[in-house]
Amino acid sequence: MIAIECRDVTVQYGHRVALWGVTCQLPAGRLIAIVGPNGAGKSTLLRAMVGLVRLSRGEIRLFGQAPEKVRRRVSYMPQRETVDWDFPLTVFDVVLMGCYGELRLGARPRREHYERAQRALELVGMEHHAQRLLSELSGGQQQRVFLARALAQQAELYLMDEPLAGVDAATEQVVLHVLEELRRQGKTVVVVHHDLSTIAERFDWVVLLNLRLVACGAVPEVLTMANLHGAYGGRLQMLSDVAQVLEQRRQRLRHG
Amino acid sequence: MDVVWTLATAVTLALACALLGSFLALRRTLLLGDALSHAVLPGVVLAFLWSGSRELLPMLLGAGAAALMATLLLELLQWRFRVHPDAALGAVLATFFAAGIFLLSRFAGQVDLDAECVLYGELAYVPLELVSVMGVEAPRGLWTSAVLLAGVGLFVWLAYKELALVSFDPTFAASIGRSPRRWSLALMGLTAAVTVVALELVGAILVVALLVGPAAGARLLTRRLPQMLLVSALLALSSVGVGYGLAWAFDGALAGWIAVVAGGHVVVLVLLRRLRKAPASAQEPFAAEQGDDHAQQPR
Ligand SMILES: Nc1ncnc2c1ncn2[C@@H]1O[C@H](COP(=O)(O)OP(=O)(O)O)[C@@H](O)[C@H]1O
Ligand SMILES: [Mg+2]
Repeated sequence: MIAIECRDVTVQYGHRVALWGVTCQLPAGRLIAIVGPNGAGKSTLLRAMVGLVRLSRGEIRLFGQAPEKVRRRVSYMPQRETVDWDFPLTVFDVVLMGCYGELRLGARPRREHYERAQRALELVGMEHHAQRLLSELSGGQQQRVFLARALAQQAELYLMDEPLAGVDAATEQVVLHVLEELRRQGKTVVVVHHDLSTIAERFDWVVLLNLRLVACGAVPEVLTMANLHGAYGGRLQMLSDVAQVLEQRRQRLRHG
Repeated sequence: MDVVWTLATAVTLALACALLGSFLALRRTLLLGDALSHAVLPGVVLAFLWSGSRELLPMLLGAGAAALMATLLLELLQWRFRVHPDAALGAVLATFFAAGIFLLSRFAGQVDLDAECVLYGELAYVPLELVSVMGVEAPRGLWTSAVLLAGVGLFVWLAYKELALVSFDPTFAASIGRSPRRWSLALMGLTAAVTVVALELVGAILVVALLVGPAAGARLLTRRLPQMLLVSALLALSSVGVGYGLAWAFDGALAGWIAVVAGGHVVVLVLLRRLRKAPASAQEPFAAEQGDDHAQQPR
């Protein structure tokens, strides 16, 4: 089944083109990475998928529908910079916001929402910090709080913008564990991520982006030298690392 | 009886301003009231030139129109041209007020208008104008501020989630279908309405002090949004109460004393915080630990 379909997606900020004619189909129930150099349009593509930027051409369909129609089935985790860190909210309040999408004007969260927020906090190992303020947490802990908020949304499609950027090792383990857990539950997860060896090791599907679509497909087919050259130019050290990881993975598959 | 009417009006207005001000403080647009109370001037002058009288209604309409234009301009600057809120506030305040001054001097001959007395009211005069609504007689000012308080209260009650959401994380808010732009405009529009109406009742200084003081004080005292709203309401009450006490003890304008107390709260709180913080931070240098921690804090 197809979760996301992009047809000729083109986005401009003023005169600056950020995405150019991107056409691809992303399968449901997979762990999908979006990869590309800085300024490649990765964040822009995610934002387009939640309907936050206007397309100057083309079309995006989520589960066969316009993004605005399926908001409740989609969870978006922005890059970290957009938040007001001094806002007077506790960690628990922030996670609870994951349920706000389904609450109408004037409605207050109910017991089920509190329980959901609590479970989400437990999943990311932050239940002991529920009453603290965001500004009192380390960067990695803050990232886990936003991951918990995304989980509290109970969506079918998760779009995460660099959830692993600049986090500590423990948080990285938590995030990767949550991603795999989501896949196990049959959710579709799209993650902007930089570390090609984690992708080679753990992800199913990859979108290589550099303004245009360079390649899109299953990890072993797409993460080839030729494609990576297309996206990054010649940073060979990194590329041979990836080749090595992929080779190991192939062997693991072969031997069971 | 007059004192009771005056205080009741002041309290009602102070509560409305404190609630609104709290959300303005969180969005770092606390000076919106200040900007708007200056921005109404060209509207007032034009209304006077156009109607040729000092009737209240044309003045209010002129002021309202100017405030509305200022609000829309602010919205445009912030969201379309991505100007930082405080820069946008400053620019709009200066331009509109300057336009008002220009109009005043340009038409000085025809304008027998002291804008101060026409639009800028005075708390002490509130009990002079009684209006009876459904058989109950009370000052017009009290009725008006009661309507304002009800409006603000209803707005905050209904849109509490949305206001928190769009102020805290606008990108996420937009992703779940809550437009930050629309909610910001709603908040600014309501502030404009409150400012214009309150200007006419109690004057610019008091309105601005009530919008800024209790909210800024509450922001310093509390860690969570619901507490912040509650504390700002308490500070609003104490501003009026203590202000009244001081006006009684030392004489002088009640509005002035209330404004002084509303602002004074903030100064005192900042100083207290300084005093308390200095030794405390020396004792626990790593209150917010860095790096990471599966080792959770004992609570
Ligand atoms: N709000 C914006 N206004 C103008 N230009 C932008 C904006 N957001 C991104 N861009 C530009 O669009 C291009 C793609 O940005 P982005 O999608 O953030 O890339 P990535 O996430 O891959 O690093 C960059 O050149 C960036 O400078
Ligand atoms: Mg990005």
